[in-house]
Amino acid sequence: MVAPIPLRRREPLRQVRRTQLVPSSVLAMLIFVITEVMFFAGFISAFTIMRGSAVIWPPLDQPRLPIGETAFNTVLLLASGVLLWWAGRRVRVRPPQGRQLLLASIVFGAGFVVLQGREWAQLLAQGLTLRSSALGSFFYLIVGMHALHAVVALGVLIWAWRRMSHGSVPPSTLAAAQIFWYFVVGVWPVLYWRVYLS
Amino acid sequence: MTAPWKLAALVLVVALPVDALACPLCIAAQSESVQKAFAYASLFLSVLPLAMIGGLFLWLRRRARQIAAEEAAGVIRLPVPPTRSNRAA
Repeated sequence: MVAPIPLRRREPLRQVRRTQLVPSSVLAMLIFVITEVMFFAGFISAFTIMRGSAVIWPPLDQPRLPIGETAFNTVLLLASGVLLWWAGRRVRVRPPQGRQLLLASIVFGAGFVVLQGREWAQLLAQGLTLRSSALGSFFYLIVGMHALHAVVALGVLIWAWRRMSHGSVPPSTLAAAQIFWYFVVGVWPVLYWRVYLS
Repeated sequence: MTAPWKLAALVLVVALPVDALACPLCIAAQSESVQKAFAYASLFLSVLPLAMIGGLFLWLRRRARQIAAEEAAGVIRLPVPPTRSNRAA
């Protein structure tokens, strides 16, 4: 006969308390943004090497990229980022004002996308296409991928703004949307510098 | 395989990797600007992920210390209002 083992607990179980460092949505968005940064870093590196190997740059038979107009678009996008940052701060204390600022940020961001689209139409009319030269290929690939990200991020911001209209957006959700838009805003000056200026 | 062939194969195996390593840059060797572009791109792509992951790690560690300090000081964190996804649970 086997003697029963006494179920005596020598030490009280330590109460494990876990505090969430960062909301899951924010952490997921940060990891996503890191992968997206590497995506654009690959493009920029390939563009830099291709440029370095070209004898004449930009190609003589290709239209020049509109530096001045795009500088204005860049200012619009940066202003949109600042407005979003401001909206994120104001939404905690005065939600209606935060909502207005978020709308202003969306309008500025949409302005950037529309003006960039107009610029594309002009360049296409002038003969810069995906197949016309290496400049055209890289230009439409890099700037086009950024535009795609901008459109998706605008969609996320519009969704957050609509949810604000019907109640409130959880702070973590708004923070994740902000991070995505900050990425779109932050990566653009680097692209502008490498593709348009240098 | 006879001994001389083995020796020749060994010499090739030892000597060839030098050329193989240089191969991705053999086009670049023609021009200084391309050499620079390759070097900067390699450096950029090597450092960037380390910097980003390291930055995220440092930020999380700083945040953990901040929360630990707040808890030690007796700061009470208000619960986050329920979202649509966790309201039903």
